[in-house]
Amino acid sequence: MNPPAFRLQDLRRIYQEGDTRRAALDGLSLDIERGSFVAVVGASGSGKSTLLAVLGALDRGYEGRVEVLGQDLARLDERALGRLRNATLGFVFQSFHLLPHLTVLDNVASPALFADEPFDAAQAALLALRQVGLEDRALDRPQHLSGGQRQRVALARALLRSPPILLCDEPTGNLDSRTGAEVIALLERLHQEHQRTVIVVTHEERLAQRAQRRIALEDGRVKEDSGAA
Amino acid sequence: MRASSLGRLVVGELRRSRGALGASGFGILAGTAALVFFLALGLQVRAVLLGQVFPLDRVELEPAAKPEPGLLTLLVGGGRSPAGVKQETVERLGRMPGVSAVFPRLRFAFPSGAFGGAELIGREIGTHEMLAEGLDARLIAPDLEAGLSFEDPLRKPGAACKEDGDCEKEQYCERASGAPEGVCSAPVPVVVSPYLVELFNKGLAPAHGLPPVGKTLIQKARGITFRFQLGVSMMGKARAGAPRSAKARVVGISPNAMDLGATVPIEVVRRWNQEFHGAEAAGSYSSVVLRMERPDQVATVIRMAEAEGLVPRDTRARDVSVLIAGVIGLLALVAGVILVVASSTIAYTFRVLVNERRVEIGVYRSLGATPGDIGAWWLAVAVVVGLAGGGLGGGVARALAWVIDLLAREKLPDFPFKPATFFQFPGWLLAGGAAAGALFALVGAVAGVRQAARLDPAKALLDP
Ligand SMILES: Nc1ncnc2c1ncn2[C@@H]1O[C@H](COP(=O)(O)OP(=O)(O)OP(=O)(O)O)[C@@H](O)[C@H]1O
Ligand SMILES: [Mg+2]
Repeated sequence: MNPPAFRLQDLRRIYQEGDTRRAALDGLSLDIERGSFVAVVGASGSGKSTLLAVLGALDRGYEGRVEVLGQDLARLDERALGRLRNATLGFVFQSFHLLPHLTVLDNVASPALFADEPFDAAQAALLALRQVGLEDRALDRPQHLSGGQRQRVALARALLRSPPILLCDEPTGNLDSRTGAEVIALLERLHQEHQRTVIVVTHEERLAQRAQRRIALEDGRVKEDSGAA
Repeated sequence: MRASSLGRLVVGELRRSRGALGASGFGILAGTAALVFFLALGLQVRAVLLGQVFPLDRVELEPAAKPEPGLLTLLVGGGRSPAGVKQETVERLGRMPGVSAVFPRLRFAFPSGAFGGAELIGREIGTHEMLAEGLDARLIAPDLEAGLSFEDPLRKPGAACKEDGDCEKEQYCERASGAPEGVCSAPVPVVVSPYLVELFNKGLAPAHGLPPVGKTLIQKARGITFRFQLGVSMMGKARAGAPRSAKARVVGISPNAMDLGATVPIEVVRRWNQEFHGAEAAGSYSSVVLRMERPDQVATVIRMAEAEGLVPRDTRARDVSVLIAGVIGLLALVAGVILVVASSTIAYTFRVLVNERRVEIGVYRSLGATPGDIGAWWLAVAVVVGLAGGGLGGGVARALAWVIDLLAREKLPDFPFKPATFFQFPGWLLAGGAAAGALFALVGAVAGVRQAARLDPAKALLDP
């Protein structure tokens, strides 16, 4: 049987501030199947971003066990983690995090810098831009684009290496409702097209309702999980 | 990360931060320029002083001074053994590893002076105090111009005589004091050191309005003749014999000749020492000069010679060497201070830059960069800044040296041993300057580099 996209066992993330210890994640155990579209919801401070950072192999300071496609993250060294982020995981952030000194094309191509094998990054970047409908803006600077366009460029960057998993933290948080809807539609399409696993952290009910599964966090614990076995 | 990617990141950062990086690289440039400049100056000064003025590749050894004879020794009547270097010792020294040549020397054991030069420069000049010593002819022969010889003139004695008038034009009557008669002799050949010629030409001659002597002059005039005043000087009279004079002729210049004085064939000195000092240590030399294959062998050879009871006569070379090292060290310290300041500027610049690039670094981490990749990126930026600053610093030092040499050529009067250039820029010095620049840039950047490598990408990227 294929391993799930993610398997969490008793995941804890504890932040120490002075003498006080705060559990941002407090004992999560769940599987996220491949190809599923999952919405993570919860009040501010409930641990959503913290969870995404752990799933995205950006935060190693957790306790418990996290498997990505059957690989125990704790057993991977920095190189292997880097490779995982580069080729297997795609990130989208609320504030887009495009690099203003690079053109749209170079932004989208930037994952190629950290790929093990060289490839035609410009070609791949144009292809990714076509998927989000922005190939005509390839030579613009990101700061000349609208918010919705910027988030689509960020999506194209996440797609450059065609990763099987997309991790999105409030992808519509900085967008008005119309452009937000465009981005949501795009995410749905990307999910369906290649059976991608998409995990979206969101406040937006509209987006959460489109997901196949909805996980609600409260104080670092699962309060409600529509896909619980 | 692939090298091409690293290159792209580094070039991108250099281009974007050229202002800040250029400013901090300028400090490295200034420090390296000072360092390379002072070291180049030191190298040349050292080369001139130790190569020409006080050669470091030779050492003159003489018997260690005996402690003052105690009262007991005087009463018991233990005689002082004649001080001197024996022929066997000279031969043993010559066989020591690292020694390429041995020059036994025999100094005048009596006061002497010298006067002459009238036929050449129009008036009599001289000194009441003349240092002179004898050297084996074989050690001088290779330095002589064709047709001139450095042999004891009495190997080919002339007719018997009572005074100079009895002899042929060039000759003089070599007649020991008290002897009933002497023999006609060619002038005693004398060689002088290049050091002395340099001092005369650039120091004495201009001061007294005399023409300089040179190899060509010696050759043309078939030697400058002068008279040795034997057995008397300003310091007093010799303990034996009656003062008299002997004709001498300069036949050449040799680096083996004594620095300040006249060098004559050793047989002549032996004869005259007997005449004016009495028969003493007939089979020995007053000192021996060893020439080393390499300057760094001097210390070893001195240590071995101590076993023979010999000590270095002259420590000027060592003193000069220590002095130069000290002065250059001090100047290099100044350069070092500039570099340390530059290094702390770099530290500040890198911390600011890394802070400005927090999100960018986080993005790269999320796209697959490892902490090591990020560290390598910033480390490489520091190395480039340091190498560029250090390399340009070396260039600036060279340019400065060129200007100073030009000024020295045109504005400074000629003085003894004035070199054509005051600087030496060997390849290793320029390479070392660039390396020092890179090193100080690295040391400065290290905190910022660590900060960049350890940056928490989750914190930088995820909105709170
Ligand atoms: N680096 C950190 N150091 C200390 N505490 C942290 C850190 N990051 C997050 N926290 C704490 O962990 C808890 C969960 O934070 P997290 O960012 O995951 O919440 P969130 O659900 O994403 O909230 P929001 O909806 O506002 O984005 C919060 O209480 C937060 O203060
Ligand atoms: Mg959050």
